[in-house]
Amino acid sequence: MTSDQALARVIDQLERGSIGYLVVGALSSNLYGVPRATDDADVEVLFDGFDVVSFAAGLGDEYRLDRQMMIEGFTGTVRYVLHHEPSGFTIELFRLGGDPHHQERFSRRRRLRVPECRGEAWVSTAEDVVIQKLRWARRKDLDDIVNLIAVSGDELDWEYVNRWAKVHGTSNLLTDLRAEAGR
Amino acid sequence: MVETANTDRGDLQVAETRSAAAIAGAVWATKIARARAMPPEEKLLAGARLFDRVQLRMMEGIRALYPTWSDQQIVVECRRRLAAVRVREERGIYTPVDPS
Repeated sequence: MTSDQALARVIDQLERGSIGYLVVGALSSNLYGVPRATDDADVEVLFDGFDVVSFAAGLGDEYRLDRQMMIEGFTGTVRYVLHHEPSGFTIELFRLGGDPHHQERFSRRRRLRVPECRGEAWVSTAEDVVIQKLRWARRKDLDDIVNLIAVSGDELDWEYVNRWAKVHGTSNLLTDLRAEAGR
Repeated sequence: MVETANTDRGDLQVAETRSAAAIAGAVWATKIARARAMPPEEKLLAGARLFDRVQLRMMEGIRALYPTWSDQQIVVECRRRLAAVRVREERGIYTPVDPS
């Protein structure tokens, strides 16, 4: 099983179980920007009644759940890591927490047709990709933002992006990146 | 004479820099145009597909360095290198949670 098939299987299982989720991170920035290689998929999940151990077991022998939970420092979000052993690809499951932007991001998620997932998948909006990556601000995040703005900048709800950038104190960085992208 | 030579070299460097910048700009514009033309349903899983290709190239590189290694040794080394990058990228961002 290849990496994209390994990911499609996880999305398919979330869909079949009617579990609330959305694809975030590099995969969602690829959707609106310039696709680049990534060795992991970030998926935010509603943990109301969601048993991550049973979920991982249901995926089959090729998947291994890392029992060590991690907490992300910016938002306090808890992360579980699923390893797909044959491909080396990882799927990171983030528990949707109380972070105000994450809550709004989840409520704004949209459906995307994905043939490999036998239907559709829930994905982050382009605006929410920019807002989140501004918070992380690693080198690769900044490149992703510039590419995303260059590809999809005309379609963004800038009022929404600016509002959250102000809340997170990232407005100046956003201004610089928009200039770099020529928008 | 020396002064003239230095000026010529400086002009050449400026011209080369401008030329490199123009090429980089054209490459970027092509990249953006391609990304705009790509259907969204193809783009979502593209990162995972590209990862498989990157991994194959990495393994070819490791095989060239260590021609006597088995396939399994090459996979292990490739995963070790990827894990090292991941550790560096996640440093200071994630901390382990004590389940208790």
